Amino acid sequence: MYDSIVSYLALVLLAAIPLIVTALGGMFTERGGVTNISLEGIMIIGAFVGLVTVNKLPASWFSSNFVLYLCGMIAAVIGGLIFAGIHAIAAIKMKANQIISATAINTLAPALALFLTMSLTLGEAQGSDKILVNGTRFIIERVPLLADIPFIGEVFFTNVYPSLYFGIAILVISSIVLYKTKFGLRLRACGENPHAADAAGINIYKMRYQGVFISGILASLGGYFLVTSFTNEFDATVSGFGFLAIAVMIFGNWKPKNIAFTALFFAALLTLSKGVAFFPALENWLYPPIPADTPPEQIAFLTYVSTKVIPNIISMLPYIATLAVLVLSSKKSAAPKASGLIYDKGER
Amino acid sequence: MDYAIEMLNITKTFGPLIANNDVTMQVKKGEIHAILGENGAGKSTLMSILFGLYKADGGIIKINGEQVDIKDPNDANRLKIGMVHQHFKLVEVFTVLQNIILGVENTKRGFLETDSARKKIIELSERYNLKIDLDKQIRDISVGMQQRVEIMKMLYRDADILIFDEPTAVLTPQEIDGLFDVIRFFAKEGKSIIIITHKLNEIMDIADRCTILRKGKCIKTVDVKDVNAEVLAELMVGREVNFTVEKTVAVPKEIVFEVQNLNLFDKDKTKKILNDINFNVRSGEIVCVAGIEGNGQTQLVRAISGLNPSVEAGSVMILNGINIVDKSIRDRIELGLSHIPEDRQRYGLIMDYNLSENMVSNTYYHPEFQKHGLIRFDQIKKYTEDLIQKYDIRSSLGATSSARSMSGGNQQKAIIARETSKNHNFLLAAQPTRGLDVGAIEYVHKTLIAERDRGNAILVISLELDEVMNISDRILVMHEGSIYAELDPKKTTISEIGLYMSGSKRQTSEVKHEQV
Amino acid sequence: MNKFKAYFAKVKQRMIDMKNQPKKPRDFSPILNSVISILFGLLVGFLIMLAVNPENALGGLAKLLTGGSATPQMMGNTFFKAGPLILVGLAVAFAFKTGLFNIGVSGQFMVSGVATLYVANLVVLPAPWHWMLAILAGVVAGAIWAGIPGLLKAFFNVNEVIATIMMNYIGMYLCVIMAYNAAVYNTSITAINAYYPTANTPTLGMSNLFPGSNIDLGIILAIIVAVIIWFLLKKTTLGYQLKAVGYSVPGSKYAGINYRRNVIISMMISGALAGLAAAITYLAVLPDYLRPVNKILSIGFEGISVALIAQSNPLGIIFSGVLISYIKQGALTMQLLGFDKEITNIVVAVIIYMIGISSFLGAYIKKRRDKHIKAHHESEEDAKNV
Repeated sequence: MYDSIVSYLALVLLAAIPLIVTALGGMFTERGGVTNISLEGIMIIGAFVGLVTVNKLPASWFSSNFVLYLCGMIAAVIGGLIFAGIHAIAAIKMKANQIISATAINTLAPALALFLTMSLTLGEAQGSDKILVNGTRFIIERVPLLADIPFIGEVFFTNVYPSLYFGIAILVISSIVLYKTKFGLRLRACGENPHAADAAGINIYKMRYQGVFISGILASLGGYFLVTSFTNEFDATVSGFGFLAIAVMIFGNWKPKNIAFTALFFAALLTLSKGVAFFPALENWLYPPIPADTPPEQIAFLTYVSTKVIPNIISMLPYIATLAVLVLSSKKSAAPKASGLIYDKGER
Repeated sequence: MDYAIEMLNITKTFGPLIANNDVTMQVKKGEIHAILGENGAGKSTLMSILFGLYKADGGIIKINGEQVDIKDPNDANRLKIGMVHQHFKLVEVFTVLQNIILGVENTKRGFLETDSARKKIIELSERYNLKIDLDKQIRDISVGMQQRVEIMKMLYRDADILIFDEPTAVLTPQEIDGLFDVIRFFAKEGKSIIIITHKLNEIMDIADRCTILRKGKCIKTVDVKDVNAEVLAELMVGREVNFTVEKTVAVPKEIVFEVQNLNLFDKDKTKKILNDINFNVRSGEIVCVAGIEGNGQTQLVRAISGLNPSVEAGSVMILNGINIVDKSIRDRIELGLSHIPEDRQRYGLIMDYNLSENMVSNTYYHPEFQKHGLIRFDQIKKYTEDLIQKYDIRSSLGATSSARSMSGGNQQKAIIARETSKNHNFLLAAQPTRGLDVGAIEYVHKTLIAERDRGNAILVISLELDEVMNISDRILVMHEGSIYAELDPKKTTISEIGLYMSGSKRQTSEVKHEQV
Repeated sequence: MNKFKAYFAKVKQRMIDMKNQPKKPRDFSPILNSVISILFGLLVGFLIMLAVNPENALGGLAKLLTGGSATPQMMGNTFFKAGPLILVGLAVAFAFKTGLFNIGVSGQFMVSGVATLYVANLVVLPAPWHWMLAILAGVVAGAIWAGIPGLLKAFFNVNEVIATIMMNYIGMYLCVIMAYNAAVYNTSITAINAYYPTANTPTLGMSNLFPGSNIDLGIILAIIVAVIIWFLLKKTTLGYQLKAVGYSVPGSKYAGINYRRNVIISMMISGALAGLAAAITYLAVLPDYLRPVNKILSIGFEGISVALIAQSNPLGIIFSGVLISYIKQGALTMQLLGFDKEITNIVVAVIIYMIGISSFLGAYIKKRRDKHIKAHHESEEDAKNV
């Protein structure tokens, strides 16, 4: 049981980190007053650019896999910044409908990734649209000393991906930046009441650009973290993680700490179908073995139920939970007041 | 002459609209200078240019004799210009302290540092006797304190030139006296004060000189001691104005609308917004609800109109003999309610629909406007053209002009036309003259009185005490969600109403009955 | 000299005429907006092709632009594939008109597909009734699937964008479960069985017009529905209410229009249109297969672009639907030159983006033009003074 819990927690963290990082990105852009539902697209770009970088750079250039991992991160961030910039220009400078420009990015990102994968044969094989992920090479096997701490050492310091530490660092830094710095105070003012911020001499547009760019950095990292640690191959999709991150941000009330807890909850649901394997008793209950005396005509049906119906229902859970959570949180929302509203200096 | 501020030949346009046309204004050091003008005369635009929120298309600004270029509020800040805006520029979810330091924060090793700011603010508040609660969030403090926070923002930035945009709109008569004392103290210290207002008696009370704007143009600058209110009014409007409204004595008949024990909580169910409201409106009379903004008037209107249906159990609202508490908005409209809303662009009109579509927005389903679910556009057009004639609604394309393209006064006329032409006998008018110029205000007042004389029951919500005194047959004073007094306009005074408005006086229920 | 004077007088008169003309609500033609956006999208697509494979880029572009009409067969297939695109475009546009953004068309499409195919496979009925019932099943399923986020929006104020996205994933997994059901699953095509003669939509002999193509009733149905939707929005009280809610929620509430009911109706009609699109897709004689895969179909997002290109005008959607279908057909032929068909989605994304910013660009161009006219006017004044 102990080992099962450790294994499951480790799995949950793998899914939670990309969610947290991306949701924090969403938090920064919304706190500044720009909605960004293109997190999904930006994640895809981050994942794509980062993966291609770590796959194509010759391993011999690097003293360690960790440095290669860092290069992938940097590349991902550059990709993310470009796409966030596309959204920022439309949303802030051109005062476009923010949902339309984000939809364009969500359409563009996977199409571009697939197109380049196919055209430049970046895939596993000629004609394949799947990029191989060799993520396990980045695993940190043991952190000396800390790995010996009971339980915590096993979950946080044994066989972990670097993304775990980056994710936690991003969480801590985000909280500090948002609440303890001049930048954070000003950014929040822009999202709550841009007119007040304007009158206080703050450049709304500049703050909002910064908010969107931070979301680009964090969402692209989220995508990169997700594919390098959570999947084996990449075919230009992050399976709705970007949208889930938005739900996490909403239910986390645009606050870093709440976002972290919400993300853990969602990650627990997301990994449930895989995690069940760690708990034999639960697995037995969910997928009872077919009794030997079952009539043959029923065997097919029971197999269908246990291999198709139940696992897919479990897969639905995070999305159903999101809806439930949105219903529950709809009455009491602390959304930044001016989020998604175009700010026009000339208007009163 | 030693001028603190000189704005010379300022011109500013917004698209086709010329907000300021060659305006010149000079303010002496240490004087209190008023800017007088009607809504839309260009006062706020002029001051926003001085404060760096807008950039003038032409003209120059001199501060203490030196020509300056004010590109943004930061420049204004450096030149020690501060401004209290009509609509406060405060972040609701920030604390008072955070709001004051926003934009001029101190940092220590990259982190926010607030201790020195706190010290300075406390010193200032003692010196000027401005009581503020530094650690409360803006949404939890009174409007009066919010204004003090705005004043503190200027003082914290060491401003020498203080601009007040309509500072008295949200205050009781008594609070206004307090504010004026502070302002006089600032002037005595050598600060230069500009007050934007459209209230003549306030100018007579506090200002040394006054610049009058009309339709974006500078009309004249006068010494206040050389003029009287009538002269100022004439300069402001451009013709002789008579602010008293002519009307006959009301002959109220049967009760049309009645409210009993109306209670309403806010969204979180924590604060009571309407507290045991009881009153009635009879046919042939105008009842005015007076009060400072934010004392529950808006919610009262929303409760009556049905926009906020979540009144507490036990609340009763009877319209023409039927309890409408559980009725939909449409049912209420069908029962005889007409409603001129406070926010005419947000509620009163669908801005992207054209005038004729707007004229039937609450009657489009009636048989005269539709047949088998198909809209009878020809009928609607005819109906609209009729109303355009009758109510003198002006727009570029007549019935097909989009509501957005119309001027504020004509938008209001359109709403009034729609609401008074449909079948109704109870008219609920929330701040019906807000933001209108004098001509339009006169028009609205006349229409309301004509409605009354036709035998309809009228409930007006107003923040302007002059308006209340002029048009009402009965006055209800609201404070913190309760009715504090019921008064006869002929027997009361503005300062008495002020005492009830601020909550320093309250009628007992027996007195209320005696008075009526 | 007189000549000049007369000329200036004429110019001035024209200027005055221009100024006195009643101002049109929209100065920048929406059709022009769309055309420019489409051209720009194609340009970007071409530039990307140029960057990836310079030698074949021009040929690729030619194929992209002509492939959709190269042969009568391709032409027929362009129209055949346009039917569902028109309908999903209408689905998105209809919700748009009520101020709702239905990103869940893909999910509604998948769920409707399942419902349609279940009726096609499991119900025994003679020909016209069978396909009609199957279509009806798809329409109803789509309405229900879109109605759920509508309800959540109306009663709990849940953002419909997020809700419909979540419904996409739930629908996708539901689709997987339903498709694997042995009663309908066909292992040889790894999809829900697609052979059901009585449920196929009739081809009405149109394949004679476009020999070799799959064209059938679908496109005609789509065009008829587009006209109906246009009529509904333009001429009926229901359309008046729905648009009022879309333009201004507080304004429509004030006027006594039932916000909740209209939001739900709008979403349900939107979903029904998506369902109809699914039905004609899966009931065609040579249909797309509905496979149990963990992937959201892209059709709903294509619907967004179809709607945006036409700027939500139902009649315009007929053209934008055919256009997107045409480009997609062209992309298929372009693949022969080694370009992936994903280029269409890149082009589509750029078009969406351009439409999104077009009002800004339009205003910008207009401002430049006004300045130009003003400058002209001033120079004329100067000329007069000389």
